[in-house]
Amino acid sequence: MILMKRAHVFFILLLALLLNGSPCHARTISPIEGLEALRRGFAGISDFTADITQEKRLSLMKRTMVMNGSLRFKKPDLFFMEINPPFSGRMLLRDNIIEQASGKDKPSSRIALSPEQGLKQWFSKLATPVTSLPDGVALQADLTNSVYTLTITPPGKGQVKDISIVFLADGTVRRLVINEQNGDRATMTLKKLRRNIGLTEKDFRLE
Amino acid sequence: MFIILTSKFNSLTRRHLEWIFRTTTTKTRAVLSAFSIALLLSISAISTTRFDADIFQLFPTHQPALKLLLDSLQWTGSANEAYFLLEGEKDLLPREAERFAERLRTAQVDGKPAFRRITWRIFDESEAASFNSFIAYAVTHPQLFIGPEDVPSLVKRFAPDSVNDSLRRIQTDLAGQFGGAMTGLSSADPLYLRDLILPRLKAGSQALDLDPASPYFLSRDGKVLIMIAVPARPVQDMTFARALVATINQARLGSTVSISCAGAHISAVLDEAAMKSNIIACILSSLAVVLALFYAVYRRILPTLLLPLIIAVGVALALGVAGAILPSIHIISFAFMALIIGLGTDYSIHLYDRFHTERAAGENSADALRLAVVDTGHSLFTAAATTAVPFFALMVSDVRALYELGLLVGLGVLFSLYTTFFFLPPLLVYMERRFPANYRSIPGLGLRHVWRLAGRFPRAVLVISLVAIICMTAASTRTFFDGELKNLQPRHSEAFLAQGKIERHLNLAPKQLLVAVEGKDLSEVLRRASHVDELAGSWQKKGSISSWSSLEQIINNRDRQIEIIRNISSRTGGGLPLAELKSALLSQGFESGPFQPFIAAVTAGSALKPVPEEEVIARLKASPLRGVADRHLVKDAQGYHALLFLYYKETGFDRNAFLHELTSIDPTARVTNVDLVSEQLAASVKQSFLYGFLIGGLLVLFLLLSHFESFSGIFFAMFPVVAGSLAMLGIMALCGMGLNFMNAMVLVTIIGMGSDYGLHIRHRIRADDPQGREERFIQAGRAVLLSALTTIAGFGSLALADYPALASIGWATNFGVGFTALFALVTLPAVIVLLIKRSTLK
Repeated sequence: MILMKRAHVFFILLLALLLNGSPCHARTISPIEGLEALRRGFAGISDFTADITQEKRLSLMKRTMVMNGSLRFKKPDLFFMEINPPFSGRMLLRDNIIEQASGKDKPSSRIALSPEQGLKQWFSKLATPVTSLPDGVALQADLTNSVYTLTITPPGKGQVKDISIVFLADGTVRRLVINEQNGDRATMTLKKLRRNIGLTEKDFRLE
Repeated sequence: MFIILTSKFNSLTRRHLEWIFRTTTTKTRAVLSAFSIALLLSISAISTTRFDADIFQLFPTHQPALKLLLDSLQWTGSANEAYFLLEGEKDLLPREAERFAERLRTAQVDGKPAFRRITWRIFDESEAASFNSFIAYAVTHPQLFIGPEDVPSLVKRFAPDSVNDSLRRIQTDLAGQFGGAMTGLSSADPLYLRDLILPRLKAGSQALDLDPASPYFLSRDGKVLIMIAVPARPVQDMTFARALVATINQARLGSTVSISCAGAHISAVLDEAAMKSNIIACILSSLAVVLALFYAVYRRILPTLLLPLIIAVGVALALGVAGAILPSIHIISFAFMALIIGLGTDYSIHLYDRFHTERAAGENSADALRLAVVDTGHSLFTAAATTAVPFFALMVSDVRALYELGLLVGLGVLFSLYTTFFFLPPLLVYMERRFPANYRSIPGLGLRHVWRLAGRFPRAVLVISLVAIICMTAASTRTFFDGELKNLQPRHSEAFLAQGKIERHLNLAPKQLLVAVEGKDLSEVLRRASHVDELAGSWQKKGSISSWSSLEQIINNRDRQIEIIRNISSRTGGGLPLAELKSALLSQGFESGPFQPFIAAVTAGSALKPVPEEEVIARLKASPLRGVADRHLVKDAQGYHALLFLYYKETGFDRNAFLHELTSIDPTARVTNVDLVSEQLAASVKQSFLYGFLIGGLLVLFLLLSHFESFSGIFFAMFPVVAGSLAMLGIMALCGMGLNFMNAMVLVTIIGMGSDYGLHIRHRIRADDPQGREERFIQAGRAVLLSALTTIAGFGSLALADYPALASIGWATNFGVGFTALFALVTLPAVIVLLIKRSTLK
């Protein structure tokens, strides 16, 4: 269940990251409009890279953890994230298989999500305009001063409480925030987003 | 005294046959009414009879190896599991598996879910919380799960450098993931002690040889993905099983990969269907051939049409009586009823042939019928008795297959005989009244030439026959017994083929031996199991077995725990040190609260106290690793059963030596594997045959002696059987066919039926004049030849069945009946001629 929620997180994150920069104006929007804005932003993307800064406020840690790294994505089903030292780690999502490696001498781990939660499945759903919300998902959308904020609450009582995506009216993603039931909170900020640069399979390897 | 007894017996038989003749020709309505009532009662009994298809149910479950095998299937749940094998492109398999699993999950039978559980991934995300909970327990009780050799590594994990490394690793793990999935696991196990524990648990839970890099149950060659499902109801519910298979077939429609099924439910339904279709095809085709043969020779439509009725009534009455006696009948036993088609026809052939021959010779209708019923009927009576008795003698067997076979065929033979006695005469009387015909001589089918050839060259025929018998006897010494039960399964059955694929792609080793150590007290059972474990270890060291798995390899017994605790204490000077962890948590910026349960448990000395086995087993069973415990330890009303699985190759493992050592360590330990089951079954079948042969043989000898009132009659009856049986074994050996649990039964069939051939020939050839002998030989020989042909058509047609168990019976019957008929029709006339010449010379 936890991993299912994580799949939701990946999905929302990717949509946010892929937003194209179309201008928008300050106005109240419906949840479906908010999702549709994300979908439109994704339409012209085949791959991208970005630098990230992530802040994690965890119940295990006294201080907020701050880390830097990079992301890569290639349609239809490859996603890679690398965290720089001192928290060196890599994570590869190939459709519904998550592989993680935290160091060169450490064995990588593999976990299979349900194929229904795989990237292919999610992106295939985005082939057509969004006309309804996913079953059980609560969504709030806000557009204030050209900044979109979508807050998504997944169904059930999983570990993820809600996910917020904050992006400007021109489509630039500012922030992604994940709140968990236990109070943990992760905030990811993206910089230097480059799209359609011709990433290949070689760019999505753990080793 | 004996002669008086046999004379009395013969006299009674004749009086009985006279009564049948009178009753059937004068009280037709009463006869038909009585049969109708009996038939209705039989149909009622048949309708409530259950037909089993499980091959294991044919054999005695008190055999130690088979009993343990069946017990273990029940304990581990394997007996109730369904296996689905998906084959295709490696990339397609997971998606198709998910689609198929979803369909199975939503599948319903009678408005309720068809399956209780469907598993096809190594890690099920819904069990993350219970997994964390188990890890929290395991890492605070390492004495239960690590080997003595791991104690230094364990202690090192509490050293300053290791502690700091572990906490840095936690931060890296937490940093590299979305969300906080690692939070629970990290706080439960801050020092990554699970790295020492999980590999051992994973190895112990492995019942299949899976790709360790795959998150699915995928074979190492990547070709097969296996899905394990637990149907909602047990296999004994055949209505449910049939509906389940229909549901499965619906679920796999449209899949882009191949999906095949194995498991008890599927096997029961598909094997039952395969067997039924084989048997029905055999019965229908053989019935058509039998009727065609009968009509081709006698050219009378009504007696031909009466044959199916006689057979059907004979079979129905036998099944009805057997159904009333037995709680269920195995489908393979039912297959032997095909034999009744051949036998039921035999009695009609002999009776009608005699009637027709006498009418053609000028006898009036009543006298011809009397001769047929009373004179030929006498040899039929003895023949039926000598056929039925060896089968009834098989009922002494504790092998269900033999017991049921004996009862069914014995009853079938007798009911067929009496149905013939009671149905054919009234029909012939009716025919004579309504359709009077000119009876012409029946074709001799070449038997006149055979008789004259035997008369002209009796010594040559005899010598050739003896040479053939000697050659076949020599060849028969190469007869082997194929005790492999797998070879009896349907070759094209989906369940069987899928099982084969599992063995090819997913088996840990070619051979497996299961050892069960049992008792009421868990500690005692585990202590004894640990001795067997040591034995397995020593055998692995010397390379005799590839590997083994046991509870002992996964959790430590009390003695081992104490050893580890002492080792920890001696290395740490007391308990596991936590000062470094507390300090590092502070220095690396961790909150201490979430780690308190771990710290508190270790501080309280959780790692330094032996833990009762019950506690750890309960913990395992409550975790996603429950399979480890379920596979190696079972508790039922009889107590605890610790199971050890030894894996070995075809060669290099001296099973008897291992069993000898095992017995010296634990005399009460039970052992099983497929080879042991086959060997014990073979021994049981052989013993049953021996007893059956002795009892049946004595009774047959008595019957033959009382019929002929001379020992020469016994020779005539038994010579074709003995020669035919030897030839059957010889030709089977030459063709590379072995005896097995199924076709061994044909030997009894041949002894029972084969003696009839010689009996009929000898019964008829008593006339002094040469012309009379020739005509009588032609009449009796024709009936014998037709009987053999109809038996081959009826029973031998099983040779073409897809089911090897049935096919082996068919081939054995064809060879046995064919050679027995050959020796009866060719060699016996030569013997008779020689005997006549000798008596003439005297």
